[in-house]
Amino acid sequence: MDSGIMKLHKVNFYYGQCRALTNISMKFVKNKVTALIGPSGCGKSTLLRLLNRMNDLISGTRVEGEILFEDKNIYAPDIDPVEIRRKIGMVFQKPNPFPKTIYNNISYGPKLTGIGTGNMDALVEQSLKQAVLWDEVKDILNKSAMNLSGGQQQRLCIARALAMKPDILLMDEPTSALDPISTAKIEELIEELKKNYTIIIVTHNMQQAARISDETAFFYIGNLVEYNKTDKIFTNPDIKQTEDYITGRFG
Amino acid sequence: MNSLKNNSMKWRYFKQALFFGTVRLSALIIVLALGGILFYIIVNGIGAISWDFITKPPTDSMTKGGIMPAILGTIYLTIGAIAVGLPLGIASAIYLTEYAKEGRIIRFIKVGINCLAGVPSVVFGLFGLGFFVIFMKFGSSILSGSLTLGFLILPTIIGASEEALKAVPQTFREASLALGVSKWQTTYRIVLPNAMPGILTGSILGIGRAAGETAPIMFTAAAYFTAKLPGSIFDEVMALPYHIYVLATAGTNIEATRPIQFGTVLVLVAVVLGIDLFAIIIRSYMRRNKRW
Repeated sequence: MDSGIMKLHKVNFYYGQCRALTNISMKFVKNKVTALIGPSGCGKSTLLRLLNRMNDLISGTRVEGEILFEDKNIYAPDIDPVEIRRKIGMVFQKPNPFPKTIYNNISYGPKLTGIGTGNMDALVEQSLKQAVLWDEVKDILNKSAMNLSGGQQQRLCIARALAMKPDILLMDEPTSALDPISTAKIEELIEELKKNYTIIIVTHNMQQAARISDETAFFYIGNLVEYNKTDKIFTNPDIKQTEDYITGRFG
Repeated sequence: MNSLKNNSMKWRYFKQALFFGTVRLSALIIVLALGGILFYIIVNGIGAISWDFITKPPTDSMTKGGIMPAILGTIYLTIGAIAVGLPLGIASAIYLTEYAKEGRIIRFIKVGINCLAGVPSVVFGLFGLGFFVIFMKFGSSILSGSLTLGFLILPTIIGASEEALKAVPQTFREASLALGVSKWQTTYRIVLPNAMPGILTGSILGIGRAAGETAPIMFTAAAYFTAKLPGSIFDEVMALPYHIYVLATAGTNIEATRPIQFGTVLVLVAVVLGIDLFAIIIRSYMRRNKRW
């Protein structure tokens, strides 16, 4: 295993007095899909939101330990969280397009952050193609994104994140609000995207984790219980708790 | 057993009918009150309304002629109040909802804003007289009156803006911030445009109220009578609410001005309701493209 694009070193995280993550050390491998699994409230979404400093938005939170991205601690005082979020994109549980046109949803980020200085039309087309949405929307780019179906909206949100050309794509249960067909499309898309991106995905769906991920991390009550190759976790986990969860004995 | 059940059902139906009757009656009373006032004003005032009435200045010690300077003055003061109150109010609301962290200072500010909303308008008038007219040496002028009215409607605008900003889904902010867009850009490009219909609607209703206020302008801007129209923001103006007050209490021949009083009241009500109607039109127009 190589050194990893993102490393956590003894990370603790608190909501006020309440500790949500305990002593997490792990690393995420470049150009792989890592799935974070575990029962509700185990801290996997919290961990995901730590990686691009989205938890900063919640007041009364506190981080201990180090989270290294390209060997720099993203919680160091001289780091601008806005810069971090440009390089680490995020897709949310519920599709959340802006109430703007499809085109403007994609161009919004590049335009405002100044990275889209080149040909914006080309960037929009490229991003939508990467998210396998181009053929469905190429004739309605100036229509409101709110008219798209849920699955299309979610792919639009992925395209929107990709337009920023991030290094890492964080996905927080991206298919939990979608029907099976849309889910299948997104899963195919993830398969395709890992050639160019590092993907970290939180999922409640065990089969999904088994299908799409290369590495799987199992969390339980704020602890990282087991972290290994997905094949290993799903066929022969080292820890009894992991096995119990995967086989549906609890959770 | 069965009859007992029947009785209890009957009692429940009766209670329901009683409750619905009461709330319906309340709604009806409000509509009747509004209708009654409007009817009374229109019946008594419509006779005075003519093209000359709204385009000519008063003549013959205000017993004849029109009220054009007062209409114009009220328009100036209203625009001035908007220019003062809207930017300041929206900016305060953005600070309170988007930037400020909950704490003692914020709670103190919010209590302050609520207190400001409860201050009687005549106190605003006296404050305007003491601060803008005398201390800042603006004199009794459009400027002083606009500033005073602007502060009067500030709590309304802040309240409406806060509600509208809070109603913008948190997911929009998250989506924007997660793209690496800065907080200010997120506020300016995503939050504010989506809150704008709500902000404008709430604010314009407040502005409509300001247009009808007498007390804040009587010491700061309004003139009993001006021979000519104002040439700058440092001039005094006539204004509809104050003109009504003058006609009804201080005229040389109150009985003779009675039709003009009703006519002026009708014009003022039309102006205020017109402003409210404008708010409704803006809201429905801006909401057309918005769904979440």
